[in-house]
Amino acid sequence: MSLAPGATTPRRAVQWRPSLRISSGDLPLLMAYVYVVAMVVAVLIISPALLDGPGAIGANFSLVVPLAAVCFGQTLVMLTRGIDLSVGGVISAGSALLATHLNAQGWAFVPELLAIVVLGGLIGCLNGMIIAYTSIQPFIVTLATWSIWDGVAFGVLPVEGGKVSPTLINATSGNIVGLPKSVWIVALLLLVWRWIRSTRFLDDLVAIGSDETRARLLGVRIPRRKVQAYAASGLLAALAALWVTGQTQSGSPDGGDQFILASVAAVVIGGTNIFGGKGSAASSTMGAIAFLLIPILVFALNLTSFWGIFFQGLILIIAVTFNSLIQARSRG
Amino acid sequence: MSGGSLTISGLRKSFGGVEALRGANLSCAGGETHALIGENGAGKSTLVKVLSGAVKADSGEISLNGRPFDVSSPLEAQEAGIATAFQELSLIPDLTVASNLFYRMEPRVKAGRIDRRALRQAAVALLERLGVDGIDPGRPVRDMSLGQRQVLEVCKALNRAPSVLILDEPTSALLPEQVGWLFGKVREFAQAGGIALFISHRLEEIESLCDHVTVLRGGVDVGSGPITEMAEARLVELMLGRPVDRVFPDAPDRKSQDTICEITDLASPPRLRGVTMSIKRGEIVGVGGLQGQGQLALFLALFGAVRSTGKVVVGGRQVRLRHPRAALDAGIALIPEDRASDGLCMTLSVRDNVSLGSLSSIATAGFVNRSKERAMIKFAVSQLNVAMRNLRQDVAALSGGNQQKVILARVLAQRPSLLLMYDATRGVDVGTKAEIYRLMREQCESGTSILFYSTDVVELVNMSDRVIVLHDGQIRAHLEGVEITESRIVAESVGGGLRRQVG
Amino acid sequence: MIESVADTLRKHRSIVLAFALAIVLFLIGTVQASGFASYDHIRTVLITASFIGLVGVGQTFCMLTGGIDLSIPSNLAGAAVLTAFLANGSSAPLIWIIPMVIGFGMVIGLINGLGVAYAGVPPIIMTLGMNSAIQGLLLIYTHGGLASSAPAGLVNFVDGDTLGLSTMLLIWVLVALVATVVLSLSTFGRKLYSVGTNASAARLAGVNVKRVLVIPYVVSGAGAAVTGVLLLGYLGQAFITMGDTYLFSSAVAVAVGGASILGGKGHYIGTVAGAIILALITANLNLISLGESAIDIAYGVILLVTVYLATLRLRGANRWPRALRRGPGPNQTAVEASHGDPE
Repeated sequence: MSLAPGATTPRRAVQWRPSLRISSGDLPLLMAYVYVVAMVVAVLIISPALLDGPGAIGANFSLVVPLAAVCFGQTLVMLTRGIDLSVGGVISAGSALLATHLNAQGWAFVPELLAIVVLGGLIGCLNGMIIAYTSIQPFIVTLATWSIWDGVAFGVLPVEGGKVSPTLINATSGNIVGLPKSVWIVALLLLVWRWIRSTRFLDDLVAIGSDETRARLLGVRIPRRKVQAYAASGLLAALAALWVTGQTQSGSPDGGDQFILASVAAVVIGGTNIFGGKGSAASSTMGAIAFLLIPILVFALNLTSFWGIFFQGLILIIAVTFNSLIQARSRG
Repeated sequence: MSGGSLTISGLRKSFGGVEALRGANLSCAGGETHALIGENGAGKSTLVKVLSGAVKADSGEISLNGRPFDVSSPLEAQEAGIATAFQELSLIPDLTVASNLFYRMEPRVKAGRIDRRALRQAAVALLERLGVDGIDPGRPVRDMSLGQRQVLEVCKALNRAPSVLILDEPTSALLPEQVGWLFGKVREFAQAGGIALFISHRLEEIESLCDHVTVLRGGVDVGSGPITEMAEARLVELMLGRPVDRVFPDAPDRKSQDTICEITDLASPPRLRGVTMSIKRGEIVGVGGLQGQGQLALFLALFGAVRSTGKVVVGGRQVRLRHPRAALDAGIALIPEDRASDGLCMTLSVRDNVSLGSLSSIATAGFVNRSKERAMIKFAVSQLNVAMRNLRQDVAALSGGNQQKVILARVLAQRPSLLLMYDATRGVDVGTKAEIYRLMREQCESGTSILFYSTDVVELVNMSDRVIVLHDGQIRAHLEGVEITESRIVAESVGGGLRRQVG
Repeated sequence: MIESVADTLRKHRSIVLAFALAIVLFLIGTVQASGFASYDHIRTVLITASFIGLVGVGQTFCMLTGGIDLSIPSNLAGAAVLTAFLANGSSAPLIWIIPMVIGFGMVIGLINGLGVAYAGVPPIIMTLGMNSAIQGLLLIYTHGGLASSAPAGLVNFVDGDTLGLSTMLLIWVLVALVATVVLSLSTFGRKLYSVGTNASAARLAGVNVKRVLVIPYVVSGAGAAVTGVLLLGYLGQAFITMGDTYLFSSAVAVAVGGASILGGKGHYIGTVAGAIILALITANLNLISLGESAIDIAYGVILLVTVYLATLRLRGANRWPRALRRGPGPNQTAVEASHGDPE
């Protein structure tokens, strides 16, 4: 009953029985770990030699680094219900530049390295600003900028090759304290995720993806966060470009294109909700590992490598269909 | 105690050619609980949007505590000291209750991270201090019911310790003791010197809680003063601009006996738990109850827009309501809740919208027969008196009332035998409302039955032949004839809750 | 009420502007090089445009519903490669092979459409995955994608003239007519526009949104396959990457033609103009011998600018904050059926 004015005893005037409901949204995020384990087990059973010893693991893990970096950014962007297709262009352009104009040796390379990273961040910034301040959808904006930066890449480096800085090559290979550098880098990315998870930055991204209109009413600074998310994605793509170019020791004007499918697939397999509001870069990294295990599994099964491409596409379709069916947004 | 004040003068705001505010004025002093009332479409929500920073006024002056108030975002409004409990709620479903309550006020550890444990503890403490029980702040808002969310929205606003607290229709899903709790909190807030601005169309709430009132009509304030000096009849007259009895058409005497629709155990989890009723030809059945008790689910289920179980028989034949098309083919048509998002294709023309549902009846071999279409539309549009330049005009350019008429035109062109109207007069000006009521009576004369839901109890009372009141997804009461009164409907809407919560 | 000519022009402003732009580009070209306005050159430009335009039919339909088809490249290449292989490797006549190949294209489109319409998968992801899957299958089938040559009959057909006009252009004109008629005059066209504008309103008006949403992807799959076969004849050979440029060019052509990326506004005639514009741009860039690099950058910039202009047009006309809340999100398909918790 309503409290009479002047009553002094505070009473629990509003109560409900607490309900027990397990959030089903977390399940997809955990499944990624299961997939990875299952696939590793499968590979080990079929062809144990493939993953035998630190050398093999190191070689395979180095592929995880750039994809994990790009997935991290893609996850942030997808939390806001967006997508970043321009990572392909960033990596291509970065790779092209690193094989032509930005290939100094020694300490002279450092400012060039920073230039690449800053370039990636600026490209992402530009994406973010267009997305935040116009009502153009992210997939169109990043489709367009992908084309633009791919074009720049071709202009700078028309054919594969070029000459990469030896400093970069050295920096991206070898071990630290017995473990391959690739393992350290991925571990670092996961630590960064752990830290970022508890920031308001991430809460804001979730809010934007969950319900953008209400997020605005809540007081979220939406344009700023979108710009930050896309800038992060661009920056991480630039880091990926550094790694890839150093590893392959050559530049590639369209080497970034494969990362688009791969990063989207990895994020989807990882269980992040493509409609926004829920996700984890750690799960996306697991998704990336699972995605990269597909060609290995194919190799273990003695099929031609082209089957790997087929299965990667097929698994993306299956995973996203599955996720869309469970994760489609109901009205907030 | 207070030196606080909020003054608005000459506020104007237009949305794409439609003037929502035409020079509105408002004046509140610290310690006041000020009611803002008016019909749907009078400008209340626009005024709230301006104050809360969601939109920017075109012209006019606002001063808060003596200083000019000019903000361009909800965040800036909050920082200026205005906290709003929005009608549509500003809670993020995928964030926890705690995160929502303390947004921008979260306890931090060094390096900018949020201390989630401390946050949760703070939320527990806050809810306890405010007297709210039974909500786990660690759960996402998505898991909360509408009533819980409304309470949380208010808690969130109170937590900001603002100088102005705006409450926009905060009680539509609340039980009476929850409403009592809310009033207690608002009174505390005002006694401490804050300004509480309370927007509602429930006059009994206003009279119980507020000490001042301002009435809006047609985008301007038409009357203002202490509540003691404004009798209810005067308030209603100010709101409507004309006496009540002129708005509602007379009910006819005829009593139809044949049933056109039998509904048995219609259920659509989780909101609709089982409804059994029948509808006779040519009658208007009103649906009442607190918001969120399954009314929307009932309408959507009857229209085949959501999955449901149970049996529905129309005109003697059972209908499988798997898709709106099936409902339409069986003669059931829906006028949806939200014009902009569910009712109209805004960037298409009037012509395209009106003919959308009846394409098969104006088509020859898959192609649209232009002359048939013209004839159908001209008839529908002239019947409804839609004000527009020509048929090719984008519906977005029409006023709210005319947009609603376009939807009606489309629906009527489908020649339904049962018309489902969900809050069809919301956001519509009084003149158009009267036309819609007239239209409803006309439809009934010609044999169409209407099932209609309204949050406005006065409408329900004046238009319905029978009223059913929903609670928790089931029919709690069934009123006929003289039983249909405002107090009875309200009583049944909140009924049983009392018995359950005491103790 | 009859509309005045001025009203019609204003309403289709963007298409008129697109054609105006095409004329301007043509004039620039004639200024730059004397042979630009020659019959042969115009013919070549128009044929280039026709390939973009043919792929653009499907892309137009998809973009009108707020989606996109990224599987066009491998669908196109697949059709070409398959035709070449089957024609060279077996004695089956072209008259059997070609419809079968087009059928495959439609099946691919159907799978895309089913995923988008019935599972609610965002079109960009669905078609992205499909592109990769088809590419993989293609590589497996061709053992690495070596170029193979086109059957003579096809080459003659494509290169030749029918009724005095280039066969390619004739095909394009026919397709354009059919597409325009379907979009403007058929009930399906109306439903398509309504779904692209506001799928939940369309659903509540009784339109079977899911069924409508599948068709653009089937059309796109068929269109890509047809274009692949014709391109095979035109180029004389098939190779895995032959479809790659058509991804961007089809999307940009549609955008330039004024189709709103938010769905619901636009017309195939606009895409025709867009295709011609892109062909002219390529021709102009070739004159100053800027290669693929410049074209890629140009496409990206043009896409951004034209879409931005389209959003300006929309913003002025109406404000619909609540619709945006429930409307298609950036990744989202037009499938907005109100399943789940209504309150």
